[in-house]
Amino acid sequence: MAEKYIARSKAIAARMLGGEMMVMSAADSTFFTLNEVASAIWQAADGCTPLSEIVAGKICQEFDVDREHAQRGAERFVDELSQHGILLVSDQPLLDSSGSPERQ
Amino acid sequence: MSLLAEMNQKALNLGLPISVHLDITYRCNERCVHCYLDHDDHGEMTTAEIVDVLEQLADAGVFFISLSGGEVLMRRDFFEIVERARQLLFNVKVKTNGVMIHEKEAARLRSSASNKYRSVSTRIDPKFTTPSQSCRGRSSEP
Repeated sequence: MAEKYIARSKAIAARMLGGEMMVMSAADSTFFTLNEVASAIWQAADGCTPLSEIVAGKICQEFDVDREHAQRGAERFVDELSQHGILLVSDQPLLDSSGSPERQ
Repeated sequence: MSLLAEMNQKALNLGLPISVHLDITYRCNERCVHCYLDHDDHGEMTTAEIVDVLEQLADAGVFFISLSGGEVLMRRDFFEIVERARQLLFNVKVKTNGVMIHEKEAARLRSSASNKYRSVSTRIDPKFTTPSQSCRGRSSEP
């Protein structure tokens, strides 16, 4: 299976609130609350770390979940957010994704 | 409860200022009869000071920010301010009388996704019978 690279869109408003990331799409005003695991994936979405590496190196290390289960959940999460344009997904590193200094 | 209401409640519980209204200037190109500002020169913050405030607000957990005044476009650094606000991932609302928004400014407002605004609000005057009855106090027309 091809590797996925994910980056946060800049066309969003986002803020960490009480351990959860609140994200609003500027395109369609869709509003999301990300739980702790989803927030961790979101924060690791730097455009150059493969999703599988984020899952193995961060999610499986920080949360009590097996790798296969975590990978499936992460894929679903990424697909959903990408459909709303708030996560960018590519099979190549997204090199232009580092300009958005996220504040929490 | 909607997600937005949930967010407001959570911010209230945590004592976080989720929404801020920031007047970036007293200056205005209009003298609307209903305006609460006196339009005297009270000075205003520099670009660096405003950016510093924005960074502090982001760190404090502010999500929604309204930029207002005065007329925000009277500041030459207006776009610099609002673009920095977007870089900090605020949901930005701009309040303007719209008089100084021409094609170039409108294009800049809508140009890139990275600088997308949540909303720009302005006011449309009610229809008056003569120009002298305009609530803006003086004509905005050239």
